[in-house]
Amino acid sequence: MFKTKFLRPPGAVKESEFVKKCIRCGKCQQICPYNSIVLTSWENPFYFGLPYIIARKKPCYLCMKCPPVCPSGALDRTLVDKNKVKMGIARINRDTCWAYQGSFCRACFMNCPIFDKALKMTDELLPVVIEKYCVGCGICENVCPVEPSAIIVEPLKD
Amino acid sequence: MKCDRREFLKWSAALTAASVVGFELSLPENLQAVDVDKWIKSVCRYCGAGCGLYIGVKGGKVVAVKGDDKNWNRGYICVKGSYLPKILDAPDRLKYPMVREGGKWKRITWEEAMNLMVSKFAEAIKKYGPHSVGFYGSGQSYSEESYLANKLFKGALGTNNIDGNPRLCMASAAVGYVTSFGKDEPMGSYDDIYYADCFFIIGSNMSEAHPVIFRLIMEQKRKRKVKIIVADPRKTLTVRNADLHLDFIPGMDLYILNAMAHVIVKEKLYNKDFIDKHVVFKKLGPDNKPQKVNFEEYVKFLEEYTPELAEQKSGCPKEKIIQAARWFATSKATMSFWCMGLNQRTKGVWVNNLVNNLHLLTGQICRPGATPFSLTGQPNACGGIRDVGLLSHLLPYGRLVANDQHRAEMEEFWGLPKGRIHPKPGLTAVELFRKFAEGEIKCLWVVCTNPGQSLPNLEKYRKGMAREDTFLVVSEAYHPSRTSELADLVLPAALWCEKEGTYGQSERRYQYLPQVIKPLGEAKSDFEVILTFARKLLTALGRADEAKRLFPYKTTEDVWNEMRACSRNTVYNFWGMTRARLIKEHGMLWPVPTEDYPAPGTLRRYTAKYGDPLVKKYDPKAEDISFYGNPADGNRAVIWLRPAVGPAEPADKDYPFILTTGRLIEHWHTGTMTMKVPELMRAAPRAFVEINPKDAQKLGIKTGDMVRITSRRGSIVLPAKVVDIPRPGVVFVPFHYPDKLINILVTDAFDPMSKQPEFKISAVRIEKA
Amino acid sequence: MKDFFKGKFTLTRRLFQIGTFLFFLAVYYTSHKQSFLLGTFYSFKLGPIHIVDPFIYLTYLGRNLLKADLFVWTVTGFLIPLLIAFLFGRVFCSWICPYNFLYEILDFLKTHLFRKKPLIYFEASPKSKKVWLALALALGIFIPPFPYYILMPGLLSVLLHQLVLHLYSFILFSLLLILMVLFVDLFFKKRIWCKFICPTGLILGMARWKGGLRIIKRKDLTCKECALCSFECPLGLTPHLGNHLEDCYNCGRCVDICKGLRKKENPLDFKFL
Repeated sequence: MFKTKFLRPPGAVKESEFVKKCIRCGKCQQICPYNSIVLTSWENPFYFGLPYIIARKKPCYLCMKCPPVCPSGALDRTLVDKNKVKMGIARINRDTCWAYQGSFCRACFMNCPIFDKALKMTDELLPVVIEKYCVGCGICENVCPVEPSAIIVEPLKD
Repeated sequence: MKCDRREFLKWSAALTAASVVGFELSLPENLQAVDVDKWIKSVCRYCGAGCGLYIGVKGGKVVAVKGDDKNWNRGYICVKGSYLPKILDAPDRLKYPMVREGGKWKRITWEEAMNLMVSKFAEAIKKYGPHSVGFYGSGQSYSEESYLANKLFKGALGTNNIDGNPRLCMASAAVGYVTSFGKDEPMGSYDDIYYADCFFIIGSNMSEAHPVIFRLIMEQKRKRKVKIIVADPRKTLTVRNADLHLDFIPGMDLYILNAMAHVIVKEKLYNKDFIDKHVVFKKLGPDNKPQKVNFEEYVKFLEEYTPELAEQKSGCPKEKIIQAARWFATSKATMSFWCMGLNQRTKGVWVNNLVNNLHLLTGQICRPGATPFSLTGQPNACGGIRDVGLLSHLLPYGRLVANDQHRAEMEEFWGLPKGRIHPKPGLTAVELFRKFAEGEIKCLWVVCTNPGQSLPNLEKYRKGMAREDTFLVVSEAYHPSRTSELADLVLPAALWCEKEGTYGQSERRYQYLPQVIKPLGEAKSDFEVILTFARKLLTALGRADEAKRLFPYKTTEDVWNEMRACSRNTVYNFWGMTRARLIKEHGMLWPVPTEDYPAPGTLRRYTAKYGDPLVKKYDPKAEDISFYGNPADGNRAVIWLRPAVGPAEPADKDYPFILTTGRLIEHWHTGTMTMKVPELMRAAPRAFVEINPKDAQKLGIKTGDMVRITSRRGSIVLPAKVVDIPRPGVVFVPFHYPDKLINILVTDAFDPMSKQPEFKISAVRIEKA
Repeated sequence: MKDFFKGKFTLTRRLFQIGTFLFFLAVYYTSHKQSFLLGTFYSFKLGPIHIVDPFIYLTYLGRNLLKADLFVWTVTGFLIPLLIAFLFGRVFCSWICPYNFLYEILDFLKTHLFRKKPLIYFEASPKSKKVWLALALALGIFIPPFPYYILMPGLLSVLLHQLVLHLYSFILFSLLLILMVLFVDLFFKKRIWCKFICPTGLILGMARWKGGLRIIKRKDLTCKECALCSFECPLGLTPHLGNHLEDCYNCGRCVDICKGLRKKENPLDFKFL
C-alpha cells in the first residue's frame, strides 16, 4: 500500500540506518539547487518528513552540496567525490528500451554524469549499466524518452 | 515483489558489457502490435538518411510508425523517427494564413493571402525588375515543389535569385563531387556498407546525426570485425566505437588528409594502374584557372605535407595519421563518410576534394564497399535541391546556369523564349539574405525552412528580415517559428504525410511519400500553393498564356513525369522511375533508364561491371570504370592539388576557444518539429555548452554553471556540461534550440567556391556568467 | 487589533515573532545560494553549528545508541537551547515558536471576533508532565516518525519551506496535522499543547534555573489585586498570586498590563539573578 523503496540523497547510509539517523531537518532539501529532494508525506506516513528523490521528476545532479550540511550522519558529511556516491543502481527494461527494440537512442548514455563509465554503449549501440560505477543518481531515468521510463534506478537495499 | 525468470531477464541490469554481446535485435513488438486500420509505406521526415517507414493510420489519424524492413534501413529507425506521429497535431501548428498588420497577426483567407502576395511580387517585378524578388527553398520540400519553384523563378520570371538551404549544408559536397568527378552525387550507396572493410568517417557524428546508418556500420563491426577510423575533434559516441581516432584542432584536417596522401605515396600504397587509367591531376594555376599537372608534380606537392607537419599543425599524433593512411589504402574496400564537418567550411570544397583524392589515389572506388560517400543532412537535399537544381547556379539535372548550351536545353524543354534564363548565377543563401537586409530584394518567399534560426551571424540577417519596407512570406507548418515571427505573411503548410511527393536521399535513392491524412485546418501543400501562385503571378504580369502553358499540372504526378523527361538525357536519367513503380518499390536509385530496369536501380555508378547502365551510353569504349560525368578530361576523375589552409577564424589570444556547433539525436535542425514531442524534450530539454574537463578546471567551471560565450559577433549564456567529449580548446553547442540562438555567434565567412558558410569553426572566449 | 501589539514587551515580542517568520522565509529563499543559515526548527544550521531541538536529539541518541554520529557541532548545537532555557526560561516558546504565534493570533481572533467565552486553561501536574515526557521519549525512540508528528514548530517551519518549493502533497499532509492539533487546542483543551504535550517545551521548562530570568511580584510595591494580569496571561496563569514560576514562558504580557498605584511602580517585573 505504501511506497517502501526510496531513492535517498547522495551519501545516504544504508536504508535501515538512514531511517533512524535522519532527523528530518530538511537542510539537504533546502540546499539542493535543483530542488530534486522532496519530503515523504502520503507516500508512506511512517517515513514522514524523510528526504528522497523522485528521479523521473528531478534526478540528483550530483552537485554534492547536501552531504556536508547533514547534522546527524544520515548523509556522509565527508563525501565530496561524486564518483563514490552509491544511491542505487540503474536497470534497463529491455522490453521497452528503444535501443533494445531496434530503434536508436542514447539519451541515458549521453546524460550519464559518470560519462562512459557507468553506462556504456556496446558495439551494437545498446546501453549497458556497469554496476561498479553506477551511482544511481537517476539522471538516466529522468531523460529516458520512453513512458514510463525504460531505465529505472533501483534504490540500494541494505 | 515476485521476480520470475522472465521478469528477471527483462530487467536484468546487464551488469557487464560482455553480457549483451551477440544480442540479436528484434523489431519493436509493441509497435507491431499497435491497433491500426492500415500500414502505409512512406519515408521518415527527418534526416538525409531516408529511412523507410510504415505509417499506421487509424480513424484518419496517424497513430504509429514502424521501420520498413524491406527498405535499406531493414526496419531500424531512430528515436526521433519513432515519435513522428506526435509532430502532426502539435498545438502550435499553423491552421490558416495570417498577415501581420501593425505588429499583430490577423487571420485571413487563402484567397486574400494569395492576392496580397501576388500583388506585392508583381509590383516589385514591374517596378524593379525580376531580380528584386527571391525564393529561399528547402531540402525538406518535396522534389515536385522545388521543381515548380525553380521553373517559376528561373524559367518564367527569369531571375536566378532562388537558392535553397542546402547551400548551408550540402553545397561544398556537391561542388566537391563536381570538381572531382564531373557530376554531382555519390557513386556508391548504403549497400556498400555490407562490403566495406574499413570505414573512414570524418567530420560527421553519425551516431547522433545519422544513427541508422551508423547502426548498420556497427553491425558490420560486430559481424566482420571491420576497421573504423574516425576523425573528429570531439570524442563522440561515433569515436568511442571506433578503432582509431584522429583527434585534431578544428579546421586543420586538410593537413591530415594531405599527410595521409603523403604516407600513401611514400609507402607506395597507391594504385598505379588505376591512376594511369582513370585519373588526371589538376591544380589551380596562378590565374585561378585549373591547370593539368602530372603525377610527379603531385608527389612533389605532397612532399611538404609530412605527418610531422600535420602533427604540428593539427595536434593529431603522426602515428595515428600513418596508421589511418595504411588502413585506408590496404583494406579490401574502404568507404568514407563525411558530413557537415567538412562541408560547412571556408575550404569545404578543397577538403571534399582531398577525401575524394584518397579514394582515387588508392583505387578504393567503384567497387562494392569502396566509395567516397557524402552524408546529407536533409531528407531531400539531394533529390530536391541538388538534382532539381534549386541552387542559384544550377539548372535541373546537372545543368549549369552559366553554361549556354544547358540554358538553351532548358529553355527549349520548358518552352520558353530564347534568352529567358538569365546567364549569371543568382544570389546564394547568405548573399540573398544580405541583399534582402539591404533592401535590394523587395519580396522574398521562404518555404519549409527556418533561416531566422539557421543562418550564420544571425543578428545581422534577422534585422534585415524584420525590415518594414520589404515583404517576407513564410510557408511554415508551425507558427511562430524564429522565421515566421519576422514575416509579413505566413502560409500554413501541410506537413510530411499530409501531402504527397518524392524525396531523394543521400545515396541517390528516390522514394515516394503518399498523402495519408488530410492537412490540418486550412493548411495546403506547398505544391498547391506554388502552383496557384505561379499561375496568378504570371496572369498579374500580363502573361496569362504562359501561365497556362508552363503550369498546366493537375497533380504532382504530372510534374514528376515532366521531371523524368527532363532527366532523360542526363546522367541523372531516372526515366524508368514511374510513379507507379515508386509506389510499389521501397525506394529506387537512379540511373534507372528504362521502365523495366530492375529495382532498386543502380547501386554503384561509374562502373559497368557492378551495374551502371549509363557507362555504355556515355563511354562506349570503357571496359569497366568510366567517370563519364567528366568528358572534358577524357572521362577521368580529377585528383586536385589542394594546399592545406586553416579556418577563417582560428583561435587567438582574445578568443582562445573554438566554437563548433552540431546536432543531437533527439532533435532535428531548428527543432520546429522535434521540440513538439514531449518525450524528446524530456531527453534533451535545453541547450548547453560542452566543455572539456581540463578547460573547465582552468576556468573554474562545473557542470550546471552558467557560462557566457562571446564571439566577435555576439554573446550567449548557456549552462555548462563539463564532459570529456570536445578536445581541450574546443566547445560544442547544439544549434537546435530556438531560445538560444547559437548561430548569432557563428561566423558568416564562406567558401568562395561553394558559397557555404563556415558554421563549424568560430573563435570564442568563455567565462563564468 | 491594538490590543495585540500593546505594551513594550508585547510589541517587541510580536516583532520577534514576525521577524522569525520573515527570517525563515529569507533563509528558504536564499538557501540555494548560501549554506551559512539553513534548516528548520528541528535543527538549524548557524555557520558550522547545528542547533538541534533537544527532544529530537535525545530521541536521535536513544535510537542510535552507540552508532550515533556525535558530530561535535551538533552536540554543541544541542547544548545551546538548553543553556538559553537555563538562563532565560522558556523564552523560545513565547518569543520565537511559530506555533505559539499562530495560536495567539487565532486565539485573539476567536475571542475578539466571535466573542466566545474563554475556555478554562488546561492544567497538568508536574508529575504527570514528567511521566508524559518519559513516555514521549520512549515513543520517539521506538517509533522514529513520532516526534515529527507532534513537534509543531518544526512542522510549521518545514511546511513554510514546502510553500516556497510548491511541494503540495507535503503541505496538505502537514496542514491537516496542524489544523487537527489547533482544533483541539483552541476549542477543547485550551493550551494543552504548549503546557503539556510539546516535549521540547517540557524539556526547556525543566532546564530552567530558578535564578534565571523570571517574573516576580515585588514585595515593596503594592498590588491593587486587580487580577488584570491573570485575565491577560496567554497561558492562563495567575501572576498576581505569585504562583507562576512553573509554567511561565516569560512573555512579559503581565508586566505590560500591570498597573500599580502610582506610575512606574508596577509590582510585576522581570528579574534576573
